[in-house]
Amino acid sequence: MKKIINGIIYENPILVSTLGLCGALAVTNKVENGIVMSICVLIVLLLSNTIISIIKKLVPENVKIPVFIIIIATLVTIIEILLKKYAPSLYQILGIYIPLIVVNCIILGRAISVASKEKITTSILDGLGVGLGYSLALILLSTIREVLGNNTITLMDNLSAITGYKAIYKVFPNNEIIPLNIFNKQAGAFLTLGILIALAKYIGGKHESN
Amino acid sequence: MGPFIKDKNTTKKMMNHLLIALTPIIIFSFIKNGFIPYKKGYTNIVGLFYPLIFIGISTLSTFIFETIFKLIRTKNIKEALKNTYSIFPGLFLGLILPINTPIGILILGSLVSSIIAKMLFGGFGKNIFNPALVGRLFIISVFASTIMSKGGYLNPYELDAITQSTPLTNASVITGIGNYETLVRPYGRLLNIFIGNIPGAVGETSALLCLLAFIYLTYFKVIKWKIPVTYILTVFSITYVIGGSNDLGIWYPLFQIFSGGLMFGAVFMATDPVTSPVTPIGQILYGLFLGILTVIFRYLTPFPEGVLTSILTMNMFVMILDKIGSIGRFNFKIALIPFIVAWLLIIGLSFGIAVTLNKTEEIDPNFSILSKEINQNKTTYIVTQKGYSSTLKGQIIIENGNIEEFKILDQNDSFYSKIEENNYIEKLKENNEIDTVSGATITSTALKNMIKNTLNDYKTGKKENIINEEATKEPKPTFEIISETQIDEATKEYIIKNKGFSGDIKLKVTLTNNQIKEISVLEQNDSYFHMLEENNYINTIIENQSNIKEIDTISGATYSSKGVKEGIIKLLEQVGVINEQI
Amino acid sequence: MNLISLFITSVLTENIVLTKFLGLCPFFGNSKKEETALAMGLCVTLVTTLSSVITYFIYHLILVPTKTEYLSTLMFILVIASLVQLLVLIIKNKYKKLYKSLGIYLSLITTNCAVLGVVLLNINNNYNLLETIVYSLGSSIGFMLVIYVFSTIRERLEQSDIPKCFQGIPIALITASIMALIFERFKGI
Repeated sequence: MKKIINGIIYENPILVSTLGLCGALAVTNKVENGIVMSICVLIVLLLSNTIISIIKKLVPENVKIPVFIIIIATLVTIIEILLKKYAPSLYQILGIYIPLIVVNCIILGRAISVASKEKITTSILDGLGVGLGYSLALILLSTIREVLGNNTITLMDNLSAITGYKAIYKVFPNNEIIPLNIFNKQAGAFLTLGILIALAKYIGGKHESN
Repeated sequence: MGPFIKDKNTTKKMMNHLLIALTPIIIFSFIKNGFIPYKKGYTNIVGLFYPLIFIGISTLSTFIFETIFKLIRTKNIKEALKNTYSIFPGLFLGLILPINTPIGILILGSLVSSIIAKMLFGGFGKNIFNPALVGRLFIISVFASTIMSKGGYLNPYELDAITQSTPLTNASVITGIGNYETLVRPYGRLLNIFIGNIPGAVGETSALLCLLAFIYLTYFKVIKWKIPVTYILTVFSITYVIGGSNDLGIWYPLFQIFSGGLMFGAVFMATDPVTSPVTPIGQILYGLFLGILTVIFRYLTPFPEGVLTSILTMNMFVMILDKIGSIGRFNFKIALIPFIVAWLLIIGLSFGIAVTLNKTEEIDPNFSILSKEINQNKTTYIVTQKGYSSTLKGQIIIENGNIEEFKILDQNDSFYSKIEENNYIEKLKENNEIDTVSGATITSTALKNMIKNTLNDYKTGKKENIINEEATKEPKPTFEIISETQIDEATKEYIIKNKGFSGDIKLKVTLTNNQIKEISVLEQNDSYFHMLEENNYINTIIENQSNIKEIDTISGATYSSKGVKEGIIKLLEQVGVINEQI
Repeated sequence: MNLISLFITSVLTENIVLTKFLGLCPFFGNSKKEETALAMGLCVTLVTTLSSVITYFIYHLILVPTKTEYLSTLMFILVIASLVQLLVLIIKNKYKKLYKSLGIYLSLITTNCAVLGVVLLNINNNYNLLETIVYSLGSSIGFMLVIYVFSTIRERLEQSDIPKCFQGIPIALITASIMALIFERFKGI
C-alpha cells in the first residue's frame, strides 16, 4: 500500500519527476482525453512491469534495453489496434501521442529501475502507484484546462460509440472572461503545468518542514 | 547582478525622466480620445475622462498586484511598499491597448504583466520579457474578438463619425501594395499620421510626440539611443526599397514608420533597460533584427501589427546578443557573422517583398498553368482551376486564337455527371459565354473560368514553354470522408476532413435519419477558429441544416467557417441528402 | 517554393517543441548549459533525419505492400534505437571528450519523443522522400533553435531571485508558455 502512495505523491511522474510530459501536455485539453490517455499508460505500465519482472532473469545484461523497448512497443501496438477498431474518433484525436507512449520516459524508466530488479508483486504495485500518479496529474491538468478554457467538463463524448452514453457538463454561466481560450492552446498547457508543479513543490516543502 | 542596474539614485532619476517624457503622450491621448469626442457630443462626462481612467486602472492594478506579491513573500508591509517602479508595466500596458478593452480584461492583463511576466521571474531587473508586452500579447491572443466587437481601437467619435480601421489594418486589407490614395488619404495627409490624429491604441498614435520624447530621453542619457535609431532606420530602408520598386515616393517608408505604434515601441518598449542588450554591438544587432522582424511580420503574416511580436521575440535573444557583443570587442570576426546575416536578410527582404507585391495583380488565384507547349501557331495548355469540391485539370489546345480542343483530364466534383449529361464541354468549346448547368453551377463557372484564364494567358502571357512536374501528379483532394461508423439502425457517425484556413479541419458528424444530430470539432489549426465557438456557429449549422447553404460565414474567420460549412455540405451531398450544387 | 514554405513551417510556425509538445524531456531536463544544449540539438538532428529517411523506405517498400502498417511503431523504434546505439559507439571511440560531457543523455535520444514523433508525422502527413528530408531537418533545427535559446535564458535565470517553489521546472514552464504565445504569432509566414 505504501508503495502505491509513494508512486502517487512522492514520486509522481509528472508533478515531481517531470517525466513523460510530451503526451501529457498534448492530450489534456479535454478531461475525457486525459482520462483515456492515462488509462492507456496505466495498462501499458502495469503489463510491462509485470512481464519484465517475470522474465528479468532470462534477459542477458547487454540486450536489456532493446528487449524492454520491444516489449513496450508491442503492448502499445496492441492498444493502438484496439483503439483504432473500437473508438476511431478517439484514435484520431489522440493521434501520434499513443505510439509516443513507447518512448514515454516513465514506462522505460520504471522498467529499468524497478521491474528488472524487484520481485513481481513489488513491480506490479509500483506500476499501479506510478500509473495512478500519472492519472491524477493528467486529470487535474485536463480539468483545469477544460474548465477555464472551454467552460465544460467532458467525461464521455467520443467514447460514446462504445458506451453509448454522453456526459458533457457546462460549468460557468456565459460570461466574457471564461472561456479563456488560452488554455486550449499550447501556452496555456505550459502555464497550467508550471503552476501545478510550483504548487506541488510548495505543498511538498511545507510537508517536509512539519 | 548585471550592469543594467545602476545605483538607486540614477534609477530614480531615469524613471522620473521617463514619466516626464510620457506626460505629453498621456495628455494627447486624453485630448484625442476623451476631450474631442466629448466636445463633439459623442460621449458623456465619463467618456471625457475615460482615457485617463483607463490608464489609471492599469497602472494602479500592477502596483497593487506587485505589492500583494511582495507582501506574501516578505510578510513586511514596509518592504512591500518600497517603490520598485511597479507602476511602469501597468502604465505602458494601458498605453498600448485598444481603448475598448473591457476593464475586467484590462485588470487580468495587468495581473499577467506584473505577476507572471515580472515578479515570478525575480522582480525588477530580472525579467526576460517586457512585462507590458507580455500582458498585451496575452490579451490580444485570448480576447481579440471580444475587443474588436466592442469597437477595437476606435474611440466613440471615431466609431460613429469616421468608422475606419487603424492605418495598418487598412493597409493589410488592400490588395497589392496600395498607393497614397488608399493608404494615406483616408486619414488626411501624411502630417496627420505623423501628429497622430488617427485611430490606434490609447497612447501609441503620435509619432511626433514619440520623436520629441526620444530627443528628450537621449539628451538626458536615459535610454539606449542606438536601439531605436537602428530599428527605425532598418524599417525605413527596407520599406524604401519596397516602395521605390513599386514607384511609390518617400512618403511610403515614412508612412510605415509613423503608423502602428512603431515609434512608441522603438522609443519606450525596445529600450527597456532590463530586457535589452547592454553591449553596444548587441544593441545595434538588436535594432537591426527588430527592424527585419517587424517587416516580416507586417508583410508576411495575416496579423497587421508586428512591433509587439518582434520585440518579444528579440527579448529571447538578448542573452545571445550580449555574448556576441562582449566577444566582439576582442574578436571582431565572430561579431561580423550576425551582421552579415542581418544584411543578407535585409537585402533579401527588400527585393523579395518588392517583387512579389508587384506581381500580385489580377491573376485568378484559383487558376494555374501546369504546362504550356508552343508549337508554331499551336499552343497546348495543361491547366488547373479550382472546382466545386476538387481541382479540375484540363487540356486546352489553342490554334490561331481559337480553341481547337478542350478536354478534362481529371476532376472529382460532386454532380459532375450533370456536366457530362449536358455535353457541356463541347458547348463551351464553341462558345464560352453560355449559361451554366443547373445543379452544377459552380463546376460550370469553374470550367468557363478555366477557358477564360487560358485565353488570357494566350493573349498576354510570355511566349515561352512552361513545364511543371505537378502536371502529372494527382491533385490533393480538399475534402475527404475518413471514416463511417454505423451506430444503430438509423444513426451513422462520420469523420470528415476539409481544408480550413491554415490547415485541415477534422469534424465528427452524427446523422440520424439523414438529419444532423451533432457536430464536434476533432482537430483544427486556424488562429481564429474560436470565433466560430463564440458565435455558436456549429449550433447555427445544426439548427439551419435545411438551408445550410444560406448560412453566412463569420467575418474575421471566413475561411475557417467556410471550411466547416462546406465540409458538412459535401458530406451531405455524398450521402445523398443534398442533390445539387447551388 | 513548396519545400521552402514547408521548411519555414517546420522550424517556426509549427515548431515541434512549442506547438506539438515534442522533445520536452531534454528541453526541460537538458537545457541548463549552452554547450550541451547545442550538442544535443545536433545529435537529435542527425538521428531524426537519418531515421526519417530509413523509415520512409521501410514503410513504403515493406510495410505498405504487405499491409502490415500496424507494425510501424515497432519497426520505427527499433530503427531509432539502433541508430542511436551506432552513434554512441562512434562518439565513444572518436570523440571521447564529448562522450564524457554528454554521458547518458546520448542514449536517451532513443526515448526522445521528438525523434519518434517526427518520424510518425512524416508518415501521417504522407510526405514524399524530399518532403520527408526537409521536414525532419526543419523540425530538428527548430528543436535546436528553441533548446539553445532556452538554455541561454535559463543561464540567466539561475542568477535571479525566483520564488522558491517556482525555481527550476516551473519557471521554465512559464518561460515556455510565453515562448509558445510568441511563436503562435508566426502563423501565416
